[in-house]
Amino acid sequence: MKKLLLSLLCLGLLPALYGQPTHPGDWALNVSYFGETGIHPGLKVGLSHTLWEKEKHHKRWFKGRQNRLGPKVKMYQLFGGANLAVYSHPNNHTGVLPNLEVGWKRINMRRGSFFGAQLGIGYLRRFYNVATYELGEGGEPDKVSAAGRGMFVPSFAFLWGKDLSVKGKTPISWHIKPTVMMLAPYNHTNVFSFALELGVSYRLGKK
Amino acid sequence: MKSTFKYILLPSILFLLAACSRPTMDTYERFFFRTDGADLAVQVDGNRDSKVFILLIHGGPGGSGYEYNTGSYADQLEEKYAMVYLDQRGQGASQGKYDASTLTLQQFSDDIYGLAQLLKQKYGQDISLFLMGHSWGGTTGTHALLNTQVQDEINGWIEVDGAHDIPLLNIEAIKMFRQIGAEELSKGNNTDRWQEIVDFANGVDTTNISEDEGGRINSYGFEAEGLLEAINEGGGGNPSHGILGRPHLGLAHIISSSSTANAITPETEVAAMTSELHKITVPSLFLWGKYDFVVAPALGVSAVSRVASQDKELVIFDHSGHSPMDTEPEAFVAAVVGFVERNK
Repeated sequence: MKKLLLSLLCLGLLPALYGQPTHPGDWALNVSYFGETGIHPGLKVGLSHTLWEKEKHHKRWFKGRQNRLGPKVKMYQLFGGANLAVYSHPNNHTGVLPNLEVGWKRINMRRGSFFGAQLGIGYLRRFYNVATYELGEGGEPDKVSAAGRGMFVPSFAFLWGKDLSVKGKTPISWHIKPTVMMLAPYNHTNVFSFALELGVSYRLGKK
Repeated sequence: MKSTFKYILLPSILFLLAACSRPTMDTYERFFFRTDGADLAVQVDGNRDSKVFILLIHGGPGGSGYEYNTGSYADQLEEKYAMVYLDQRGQGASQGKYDASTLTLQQFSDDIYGLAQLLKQKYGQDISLFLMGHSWGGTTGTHALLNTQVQDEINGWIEVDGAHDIPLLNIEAIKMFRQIGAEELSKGNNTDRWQEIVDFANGVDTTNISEDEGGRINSYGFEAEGLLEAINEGGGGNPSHGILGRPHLGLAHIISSSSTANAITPETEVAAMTSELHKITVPSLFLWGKYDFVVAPALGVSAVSRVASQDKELVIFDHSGHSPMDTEPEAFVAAVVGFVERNK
């Protein structure tokens, strides 16, 4: 137990020493509230990896601000990740969604605020949280165990957030991520669904 | 860590607790019925000890059984009997995986028949089972009576403003628009709206009504109902779940329901079962709003004269339109209870 605590402490302290956002090769642990339809509550946990970055300096429009603050500094990053979301739609199902994502974001290197977009592909397995019956060959009701349905879930999301390590030493960022998901197949067709994520990312550094 | 708990974990826990809320009655049960690629969402609510079950087939297409589990009529019926609210294939909380080509009236009928069998297997062969179809539920319900063996499973059929003959209901709606519209215009009531409706009705060739005109008849039908003072206000209801516990909330369900409606509408629009109603032999109750422009009471009058049932009755509600269960719930419940008690 002591070793575990020590390891966690080290994991936390090392990135804090950098006082910088993630860079290529860095890993981050993401934990989010995952609300299917916004309100069906769940949890999403995963790792993301910074793949590429480029820093750009832009001259400010107003000379006074340029002199006082220096140029605008924006960091552009590409990242990828793998995660697992679990949520509950009461009186309907519990959903388990392993998911791969790639994304892009732009970080304001003065404030730490960022926005971006993400594409994902996952496979959602729904486990009904009420019983499922079917008629047996003799007409008797058979209870189906672990009943549910599976479907592929391509997704697109916007994200906004703030990287607290830009201004301080805390290796954490928070984000809000509305996501549009396609459920394929669903009944006789493909349909869209929506999820809202509110989460934090904890920078683990290079592993 | 404190702030993480305060801002993230605590709200998440509260959300989880709130979302788990469901009706506290031990008279409530939900399950899925898996059949022919679909998992049909079913909720049973009410007095199961009565051994009387009323399987309600919702309207639409594109509706859901959940929408009917609200209001004082539902509360009153659930106190006496077990109400079974089915979400028909592709609609409400029903899910699954099947080909669009299977969305036919025959498949909807097979689903109803299968569920009737399941209910008797699950709750006992000694239960009394009644089938109740409202609006488009009258289309699928009547189709099931005529094209499956469901009559062998049920004690009676209750059709509420049911659309068992769409071509006929379009013709009858045009007649009502013209007649009641003229009366309202002469009284000076909502003249601008009635004039448009009457003008539309006068322009329709009732020997050749197109699908587009059928859609407009439906829209004008609901609007006309809202223009009449003779119709009671619909009563408020007590939803069976809070918003967090609703079984079918979500964009996916809305899109699927709408797509299902589009897929089944062409077959529904030409469904004319009046000439086959003589094949219905189970006790039958027809409940109609006097001012139902969507499915005219003439269909109820025709149906009660044609079915071969020994016990058959037509009840017209003088202050109702398309949904008498909402506008005259006490009279509606009294009619249903009288019929069920006679035939259970």
